[in-house]
Amino acid sequence: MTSYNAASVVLLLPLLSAFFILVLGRTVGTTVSKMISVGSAALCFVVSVATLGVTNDSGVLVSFLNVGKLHADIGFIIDQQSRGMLFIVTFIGLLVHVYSLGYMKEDKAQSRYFGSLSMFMFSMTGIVLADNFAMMFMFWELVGLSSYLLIGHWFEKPEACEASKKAFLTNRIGDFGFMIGILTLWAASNGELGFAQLRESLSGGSVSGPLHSAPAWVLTVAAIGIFMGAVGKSAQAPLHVWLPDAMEGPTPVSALIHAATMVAAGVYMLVRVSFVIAASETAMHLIAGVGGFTALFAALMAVQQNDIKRILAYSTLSQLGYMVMAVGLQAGEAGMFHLYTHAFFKALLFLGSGAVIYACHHEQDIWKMGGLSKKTPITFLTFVIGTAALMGIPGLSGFFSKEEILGAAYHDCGWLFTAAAFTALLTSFYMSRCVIVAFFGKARSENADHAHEAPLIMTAPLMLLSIFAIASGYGFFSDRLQAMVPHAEHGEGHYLVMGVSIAAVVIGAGLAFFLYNGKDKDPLNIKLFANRFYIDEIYAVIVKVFQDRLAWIVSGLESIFADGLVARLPAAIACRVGKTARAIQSGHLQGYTFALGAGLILAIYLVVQVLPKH
Amino acid sequence: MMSSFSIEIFLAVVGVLLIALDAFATELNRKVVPWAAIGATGLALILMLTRSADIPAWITPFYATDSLAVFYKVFALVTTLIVLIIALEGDFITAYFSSSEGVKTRIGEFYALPLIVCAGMMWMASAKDLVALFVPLELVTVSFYVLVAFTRRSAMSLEAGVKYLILGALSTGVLVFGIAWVYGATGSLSFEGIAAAASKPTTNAMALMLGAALLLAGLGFKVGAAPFQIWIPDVYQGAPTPVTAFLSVGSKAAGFVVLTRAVQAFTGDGSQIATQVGNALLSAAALTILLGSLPAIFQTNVKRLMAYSSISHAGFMVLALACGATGTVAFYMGTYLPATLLGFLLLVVLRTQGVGDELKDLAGLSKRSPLLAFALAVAFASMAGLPLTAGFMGKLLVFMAAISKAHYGVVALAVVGAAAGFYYYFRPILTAYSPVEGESTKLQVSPVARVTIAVLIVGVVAVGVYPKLLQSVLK
Repeated sequence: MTSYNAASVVLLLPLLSAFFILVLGRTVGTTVSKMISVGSAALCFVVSVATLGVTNDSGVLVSFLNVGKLHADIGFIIDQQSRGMLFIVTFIGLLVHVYSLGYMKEDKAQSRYFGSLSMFMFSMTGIVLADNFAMMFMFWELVGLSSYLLIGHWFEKPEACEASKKAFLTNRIGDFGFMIGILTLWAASNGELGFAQLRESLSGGSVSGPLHSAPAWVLTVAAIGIFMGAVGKSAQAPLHVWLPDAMEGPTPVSALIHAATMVAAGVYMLVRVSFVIAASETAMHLIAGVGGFTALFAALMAVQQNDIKRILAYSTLSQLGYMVMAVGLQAGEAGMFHLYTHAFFKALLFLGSGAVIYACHHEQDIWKMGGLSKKTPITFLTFVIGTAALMGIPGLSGFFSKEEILGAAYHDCGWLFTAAAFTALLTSFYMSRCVIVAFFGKARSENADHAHEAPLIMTAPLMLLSIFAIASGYGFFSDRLQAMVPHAEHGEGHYLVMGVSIAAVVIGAGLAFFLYNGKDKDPLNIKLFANRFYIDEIYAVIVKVFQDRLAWIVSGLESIFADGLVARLPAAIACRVGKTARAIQSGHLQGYTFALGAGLILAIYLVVQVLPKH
Repeated sequence: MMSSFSIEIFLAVVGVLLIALDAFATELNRKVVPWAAIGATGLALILMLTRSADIPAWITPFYATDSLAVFYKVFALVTTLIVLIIALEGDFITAYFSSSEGVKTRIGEFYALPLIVCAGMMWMASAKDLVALFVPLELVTVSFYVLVAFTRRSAMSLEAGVKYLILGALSTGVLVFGIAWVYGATGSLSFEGIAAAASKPTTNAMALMLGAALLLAGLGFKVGAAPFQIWIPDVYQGAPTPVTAFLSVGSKAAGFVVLTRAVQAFTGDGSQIATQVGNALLSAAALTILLGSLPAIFQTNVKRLMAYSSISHAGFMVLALACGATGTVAFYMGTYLPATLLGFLLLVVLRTQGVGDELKDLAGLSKRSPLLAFALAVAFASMAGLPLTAGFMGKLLVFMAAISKAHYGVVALAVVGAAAGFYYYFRPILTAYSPVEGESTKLQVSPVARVTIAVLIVGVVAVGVYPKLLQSVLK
């Protein structure tokens, strides 16, 4: 299979599937829609596995837009980064499709659900394959759209509506910055959007390109702008607020989009264009700082959450913070490695939480669960494996990738290392808390008492993902799946980092056991964490004070200028003239004949006398 | 393989034969003449597309076969074909209003005359000479006098016929007067000769200008350009709807092709009167757009609304002509055809179902017939110039031509006209799609009408999405 064919297939199949379901979904019925969507996901997976063997390549699929200096193509890059990512996206995508067959069985709008999933697969593979900023941005917006549609799948729930709106609007802010970044680069490089061309232009190479000679602040603006795109999509502080709310969507969607793939797109994109970021010292510091801060900040909030999906959501924020920090520390490979292992164990945890929720009849509060380890053994076992991988228990995948990031921080910045290590401790603490409270002790509600194991179609993906959660960190797996693994020699301090990392796990888990074992309600009560540092409330105030005032002023100006002077006044004049002109149409033939003669005289007068000769 | 000239003779002969058949055959199904007319037009269209380039040598001084001529000939054939289909749809209404009480008459002329009109319009497209312009123009106009007043039991149709006859005769007089002055000033009747004389300093510019003014006024009447647009609303509203469609598309296009040739002759290289003619056209364009668009705002009758709309469209085409963009005029005409014929076809189909042509009659159309409501939306959206419809590309090209010649003042007025268009074109759409109380009966649409509607919708959208389709035909 050539890379050109592979790229076209993984892009086109989900698009066709989405289009078909959108247009004919109602006619052909739910079953056919489901089969088409799952079938396209399976085929994409097969193709992406086949792609693992092809050589690096890039090219143009469709020349999309060619106006003046703006050239936007739908192209593709097949290299190690995109091959590895394509595998993650299609593999987890396929598992989520299959899992959804069970999880969404009772849903009334399954066609729409599976159509949106296909739409997401199309958008996400577009991001992975993108070879230029224009294409990246288009698909960036498309994943935003599919995420919006899927979060709001149960739109009759007001919370889901609000959450989808919030996700969309918050991402707008980030995307606005992203656009500024892209346009800055485009302008500074004299009309280049392709990654390869921009890299060339920046490096100087044989001919000194325009980007090479651009002033430092221009590159900083571009790098920070691009980073803003990642801040929105990968939910970094201060735009992290949408991700926890996005948990209102169906759980399989949370696993695929809001844990494993789309939210990681920010990291993927930053690594893809790391040459731009490397050009600006300021941007790098900013990125590492924001990443480290988000990691710690989110972990603190996770400590006091009671909703099982929200715990996982904050954990995702925190882990994404790790990855972004790694990018800022110029350890993009470590970031991508963590992205790769995280995708498996976090998808596992989310799907596991879905199985728990399914078992407990849509109960999400861990304090109303308890004792599930005996009633749902497979879910319990796989959830524990996922938790262990996330905590970073030595020997599991998360341990290797987290250690790489800690190592990068250790070499670069003491503060960040401290924050990252403390985050590791907190991660271990809140995940142990989650497992202890939800699965051990006695059932604390009727729903938990009557819990039953999920069907095989849901547990099979869990078991498959468990294998990856355990083993994906080893070279046997990661080499075959073309994951980006840092191969740098471990310098001095390697054992210290490892020691700290293991100590963090042990202390965190121990504390959690000590505090939560056998408890019926939370002994800790930290309002600040539980209320998420009141960030949402602060934003609400900001919006009220500034935006509403601004809106009030703008609306006033609009009613005077836009509505009055631009719209109503000319409309009134037009109506006046129209009425007058209509009066000529009296219907009297004599009048018409007279008007014709008068018009004739006017015409002759104009042509012969009045109009200037030259 | 027939030459285009033979095809025109063929059409005229078939037209005359059909009239004779209708008059003398005693036992004849009423549907024979209409279908024969449609068949003949369809055959002529096929022959036209596979024509041979040879024409008799004696006729070449009067008869052009350039791409402009070919485009308008095909245009005339397509228009006639669709108009005949529209006429067939409304057949029983025409029959009812054109015969005496209680008497069943055949109305064969109603289908035969369009063939003769079509032949005339095709000759006009080839006119290289003022006589070759005038004779077919009169053939077309006189045939229209009959067609407009055809439904003689309808007072409105009769009134329209009388108005059209008197004002048309007046304009013909002006046109002939203009031809005489031009001949007197240049000593030539052919456009080539006129263009050559116009650039000679020995020619009396004043006499030529007077002739040009009269000639343009006469042709301006035919295309409905201000200040000679005054007859249009009454005549269009009163005439039988198929005839209105024919007038507003076919007659207008034929008027524009001869106007194009005349303007080209007057504004050729080094012409003494080029600036005056250009400015006169510009003023006429601005006035036409405004006098077409603004009164339309108040129309509550859809047929009359489309009459005003046709004035406004004529304004846009005169504007393109004033900028020397003859290709754009043809393109605009090409975008105008499907939308306008679609609109009139809908009016006829609705009329046969007992739905009137007042705006309020359209209420709830989307429930009664989704197809007709959608077709209405497409037709009016294209007339307004909504992107992705043919009308948008037409307006876009006109604006581009005007801006490239830096006529910003006229462009501003044209924008006002186009903006007003969005108001009055979208009112019928809004009415058709607004919900209504109570039960409503479904409307029946005949298979022929369905197919025609579908073809016209596809035409509107195809040209809007891929304008090269029409542009390549023009080359």
